[in-house]
Amino acid sequence: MSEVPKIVLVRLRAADLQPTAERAHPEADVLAAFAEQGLSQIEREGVLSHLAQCMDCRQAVQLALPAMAVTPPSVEVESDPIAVERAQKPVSPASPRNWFVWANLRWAVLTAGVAVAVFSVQAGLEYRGKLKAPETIANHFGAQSTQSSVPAQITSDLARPQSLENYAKEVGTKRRALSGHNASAAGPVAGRQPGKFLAGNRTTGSPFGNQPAPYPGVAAPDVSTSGNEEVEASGTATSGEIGVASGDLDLMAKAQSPSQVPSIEKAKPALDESSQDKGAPAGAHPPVASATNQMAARGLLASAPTLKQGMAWMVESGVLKRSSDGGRTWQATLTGEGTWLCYATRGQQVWVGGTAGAIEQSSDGGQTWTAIAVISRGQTLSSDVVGIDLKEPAEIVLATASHETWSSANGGRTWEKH
Amino acid sequence: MVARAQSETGGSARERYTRSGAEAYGVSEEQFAQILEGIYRRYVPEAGPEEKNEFCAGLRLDELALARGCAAGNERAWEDFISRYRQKLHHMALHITREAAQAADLADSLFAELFGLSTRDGSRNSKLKFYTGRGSLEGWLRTVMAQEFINRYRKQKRTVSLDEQTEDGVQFVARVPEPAGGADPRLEAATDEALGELSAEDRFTLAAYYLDELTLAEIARTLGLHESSVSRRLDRLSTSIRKRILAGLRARGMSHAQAAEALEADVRDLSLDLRSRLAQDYGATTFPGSKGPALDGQSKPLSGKS
Repeated sequence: MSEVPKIVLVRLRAADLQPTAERAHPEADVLAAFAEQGLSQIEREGVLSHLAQCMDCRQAVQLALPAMAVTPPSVEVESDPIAVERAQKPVSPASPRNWFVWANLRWAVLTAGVAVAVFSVQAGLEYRGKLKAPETIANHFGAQSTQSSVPAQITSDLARPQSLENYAKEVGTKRRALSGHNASAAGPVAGRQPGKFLAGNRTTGSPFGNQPAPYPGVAAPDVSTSGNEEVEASGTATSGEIGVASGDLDLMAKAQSPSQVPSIEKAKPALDESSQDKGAPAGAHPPVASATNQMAARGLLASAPTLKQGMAWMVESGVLKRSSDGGRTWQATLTGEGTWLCYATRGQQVWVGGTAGAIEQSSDGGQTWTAIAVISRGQTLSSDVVGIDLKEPAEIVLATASHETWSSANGGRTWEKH
Repeated sequence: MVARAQSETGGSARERYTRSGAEAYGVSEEQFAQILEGIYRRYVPEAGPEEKNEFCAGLRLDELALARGCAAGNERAWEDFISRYRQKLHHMALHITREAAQAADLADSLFAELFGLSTRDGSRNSKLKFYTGRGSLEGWLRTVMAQEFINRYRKQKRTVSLDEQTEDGVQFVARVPEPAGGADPRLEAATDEALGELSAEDRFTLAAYYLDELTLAEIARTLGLHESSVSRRLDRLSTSIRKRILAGLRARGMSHAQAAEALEADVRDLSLDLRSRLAQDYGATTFPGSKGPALDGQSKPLSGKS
């Protein structure tokens, strides 16, 4: 948005300073009606004329507006007008955000391609070094494929014993490997796990996602090591991030991952781990209080609030809380209905899960709630619901403390237990 | 037909009274009719019965009844008011002040005014009697609170300005730079004319965006528009006002090049510390008796619609 000439601001300000502006301020009820679009056209014009030259009344009207529905915090605190302007620009097809996403995807694909090339090079080197022991190579890659999240297809392709000529060819024609073999390899990588790459550093993505593209020829052996290390590191990080994965799936969804790798399934083993770490009987039905404590300790319950269209949600100590003023004040909602453990939102859809299979759903941002009975083939969900994932429209996945996964493909009408 | 219309008017008056729930708050039908008459006199003094009916249809009669019941000291009305708005008042105050202690102070003092603790001649003097049912009671409470906050803010600002003035002496005024190009009366006149030709809503939009630095979303909500409409309007305004000023300058005897130069010289100087200067202007206005910056002396009222 282009600036107006400064003289315009000077004259607007001069108009503000006129004593005429001080004289007859509209009454509070008229200003209130104005803000609520309740004035006749003539009255509205009059009020606007006054407001145009009365900063006090403009401020009063602005302050009296109810809490903003949609205001990115960065915009509010931003003092640089240009940055504010940028932040406020309506999203255009070529908006920075979209560019960012695609840039990320491009880099993710490129990184994945380079990394696969590294594998190829490394495989070639290892074949050269260990020509007499091809099974070692197979083992090596086999081991990697179990640890890393590289699509099995790629790793199995690589692990499949091939002729030395083939590998030599691949090593010799790196460029072709990058553009040819890797193009097909990058396809499934990007296609299967775009969320991982987009979510970048915050999820336990593939080992490629977080590491700079190495020079294949030079760093090939190191890369495999660091790749493994990273896999292990991300393995431990998984349990640390369970709070995000199951406690706040919405936060994950906000990380712009269109087809999220099922976080709940990822959460399950980690739940095992951490409950075993803490000496709790895994798989057993823990008492609510202790389960609550454990989950709170893991960050499950004190999930970070999510902000969506000014409405924010969080579950804290078993209580579902809602904020309609961008998180400044919180109101407990759905109180007395149960002890809540997790929630998920998608647009106006809000799902909360609690102890003993309690599920409530709202389609209007929490105005009205419907209890959902989760029944599959005569069996009713009775475990504590510790994770909800609202996937594609109408697809809901629930994770329970007893490691069950329940899913519905039709918005909760029918359920399948897995 | 006429008789039927009259009976409808009469019937709807009673119906309004019943619907408003004023009876429960100790407001008699006559009193309620008087209250409405007072509101008509104030806002639609020359309206006929039909216009009054139409106007009345836009009023929040139930909230009016509640407010006036409270103003008259009705206990049930106060119970209802407290249960509905006491908590909200604190939330509003927090929203406005963004600071807990100040919010509590603001909410409590407004509540005292609403309750009418400051009695005159021993009679209750509740601020709620000024609520007319135009706009929601909640919106009115927010507006009253915002006005009160601004008044307080201005009082504080005044104190600060006094201190600053005492400390800084003449520098208080000297710190304000001369607006470059502002000395040319033709530029000022052309700008005022260009502004005067804009609609009130356009001028409001410019002032809100550039002077108050409101966000597009805030302006959009105030005007009941979509954010992108405000964005487009600002784009359009920034182009059109430049053209209008240039035309005005040419009409005042400048050549095209001169006019462009006068405006561009001014635009180049946009980074002049305008914001702090405006802030200071604001301080100066809140301080009666203090000499405003040089800008004040040169300012002229906007011509046109305002």
